[in-house]
Amino acid sequence: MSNDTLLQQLEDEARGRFVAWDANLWRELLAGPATALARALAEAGHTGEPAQAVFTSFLALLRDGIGMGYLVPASAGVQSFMGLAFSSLLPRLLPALEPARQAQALAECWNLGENLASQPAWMDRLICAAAGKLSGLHELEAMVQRVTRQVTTAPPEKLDRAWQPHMLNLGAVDARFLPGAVMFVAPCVAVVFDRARGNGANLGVWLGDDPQVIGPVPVTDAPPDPRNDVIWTDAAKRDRRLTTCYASARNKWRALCTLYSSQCVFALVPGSAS
Amino acid sequence: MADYRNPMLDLLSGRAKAGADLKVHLSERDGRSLHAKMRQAYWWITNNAVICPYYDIEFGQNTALTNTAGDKLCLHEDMSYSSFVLLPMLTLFTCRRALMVGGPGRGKTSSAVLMALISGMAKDTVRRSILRGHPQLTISDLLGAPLPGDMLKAEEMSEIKVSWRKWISERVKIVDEYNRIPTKTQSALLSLMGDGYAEMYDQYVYAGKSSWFLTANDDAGGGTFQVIEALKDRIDVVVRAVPFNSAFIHALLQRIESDKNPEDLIPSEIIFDAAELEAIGREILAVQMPRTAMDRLAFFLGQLDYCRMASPQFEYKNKDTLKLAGGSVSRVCTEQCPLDKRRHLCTQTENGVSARAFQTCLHYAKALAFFRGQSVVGTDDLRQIVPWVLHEKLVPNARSAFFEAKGNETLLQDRVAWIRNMFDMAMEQFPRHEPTRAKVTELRNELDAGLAGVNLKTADARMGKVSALISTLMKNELSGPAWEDLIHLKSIYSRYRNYTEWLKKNHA
Repeated sequence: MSNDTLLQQLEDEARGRFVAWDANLWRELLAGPATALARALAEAGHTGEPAQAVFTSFLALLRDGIGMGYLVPASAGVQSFMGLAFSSLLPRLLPALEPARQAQALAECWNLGENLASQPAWMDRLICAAAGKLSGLHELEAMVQRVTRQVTTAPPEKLDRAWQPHMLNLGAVDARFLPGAVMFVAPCVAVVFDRARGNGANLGVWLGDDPQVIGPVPVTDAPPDPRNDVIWTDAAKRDRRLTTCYASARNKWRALCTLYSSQCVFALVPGSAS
Repeated sequence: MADYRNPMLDLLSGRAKAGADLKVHLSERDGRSLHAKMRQAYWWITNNAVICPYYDIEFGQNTALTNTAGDKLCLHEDMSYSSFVLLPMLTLFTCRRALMVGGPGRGKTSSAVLMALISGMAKDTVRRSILRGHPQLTISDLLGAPLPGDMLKAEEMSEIKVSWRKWISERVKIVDEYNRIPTKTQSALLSLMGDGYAEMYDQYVYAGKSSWFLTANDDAGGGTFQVIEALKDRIDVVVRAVPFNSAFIHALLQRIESDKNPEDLIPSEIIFDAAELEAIGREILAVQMPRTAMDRLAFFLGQLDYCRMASPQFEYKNKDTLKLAGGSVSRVCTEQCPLDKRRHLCTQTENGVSARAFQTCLHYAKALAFFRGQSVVGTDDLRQIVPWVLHEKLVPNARSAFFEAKGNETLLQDRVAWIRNMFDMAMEQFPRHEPTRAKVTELRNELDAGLAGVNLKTADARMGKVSALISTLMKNELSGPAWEDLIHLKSIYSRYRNYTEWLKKNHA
């Protein structure tokens, strides 16, 4: 079957099966990631039936992802592992695998994306952040295990007087973001609410070994009331970047505060200041 | 740490599996919710098939924007739905009967056809099974005809085989322009709709569990023939076709250019099989109707039948008495009745509603709550559904002083707005009347607990309580709700009186 016939057949099936079929997105992804994958497979010497089977599977999953609403246009501003996998990871990294392993990697990426869709949004963001650094799909399983272990087990060190400060600029991710209330959703994951825009525009912050902003994290909880903690009085004496706190949150392992006059958040993680 | 759920487990495993052929296969999703499918069907129809210029079944608080001329536009906070799509869908899943009214070309039949298609009927079958009303439609055209050979040979009626029309046994029945069907044929239709069967030559055909969609061009039920009252009463809900908004002209162009109708493009994902329709019907019935919502509905509907001027006898002060005497509310609802016409709902209608209408309101309210994903019916569900159920059932008393008040005269032209306004008035009055009704309910519950073992002294004491409450209520204004309570109290009193008389005779 020629590629044109295959594409037409896949699209015809999609129109019959999916209520929310987005033909424009289908064409956009065919012209982008699908074409890139086809080219990369050919350049890597994957030709013949095995490569065709893998490529057909990629297209079929791409179609199902659009139909089921997992894949959305980039203009929607929604980040997800499924989107990252099909737009970037698979076209870039799949050709490096053996054909027999390629189908398995495709299935794993789909399963991971679909499973993450029913997990808290911050989990998806953390996996996305880690997946962006993968050098090959053979590292996928180890990466997932590492991230999930980090978020579900308590960090070894508790927060006491020895801590390291970290400044994270939320304005770099969302220029209009005005940090407000703060809430921990996992030992090392916090959600920062937008002071001006309310519950619709929250950003997640990862406070593990390498603290970073993980992007938009929708939550259903209402923003907690701003609180202050004695630890911040102490911190302000030791770090002049810490000005007046707007809101703060603290658990046994981490502390985070937002400031009245900055788009940055100030985090404390255990360890000696270098 | 108890709040932190473990999101980990096995994220790389799922329904995607790599096969030996190096292809990835997706297995079917488990536990796909019928509720989600129902909503999916609704959204597909509103987005792709029926052009809905507005969503008029609205929930939540609203922000009202008013211009200098007093026109008001409300923006609601919660999700809203189009009655033109949602009501037929609820009719499909509750196996009830909807009348779709509106001018020609407004999509009434198309909407009914869509309902038939999502119920799993084939397109050709749907087209063939539409019963089109016309002045020459005979009972044979409607139901079928005896086989000519049998007519000649048969010696007994039972030997004549009737070839019944196939549409009768379909899950979705569409009767186009039902008000053009001659009166005699309407009677046969009534039997099929109301009783679920029809008879010919001593043979019977059964309609089975089905949803009916009737269409009419005229809102008032007029047409070539007057629709018989009983047939109108069998209609559960009225769906009004929506006017076309010219902003959607591009959608019409798209349909012309693609040379396809929405009916040709229905995704298989929103087509229900018989078992799914049954299952949804059961789930709708399982939605809870709380006492508070039911009391409010009863408070509203119960007072509509009351007419203080209908009879000097207390029990007969209802609109049926007037009707049986050939009278009307408009003739007796004058200044001689001391009730304030601006407050009391009884003045606004020529009739009350039947027990069937109560049941229909309850059933549709459950269906609406189910569609919205609620496990319990709320007053807002009732507020939205009641006007459509009572649309053809309530006749306004156009001569009521209520409609002479400023701003009220336009309510006579829009039954949905009028009935919803009455519902809102009733809900405003309900908290004032609630304590009285609670006392009556308490007495009723005491009686419903049973009279076994209740001695004469206790029965007398209870009767005393009932009499005392009757005396208190009789000192107040005799409004519709008060009359209902008094009738109720009198029936409780009569039960106790009969019981005490029996006790005296048998245990003296």
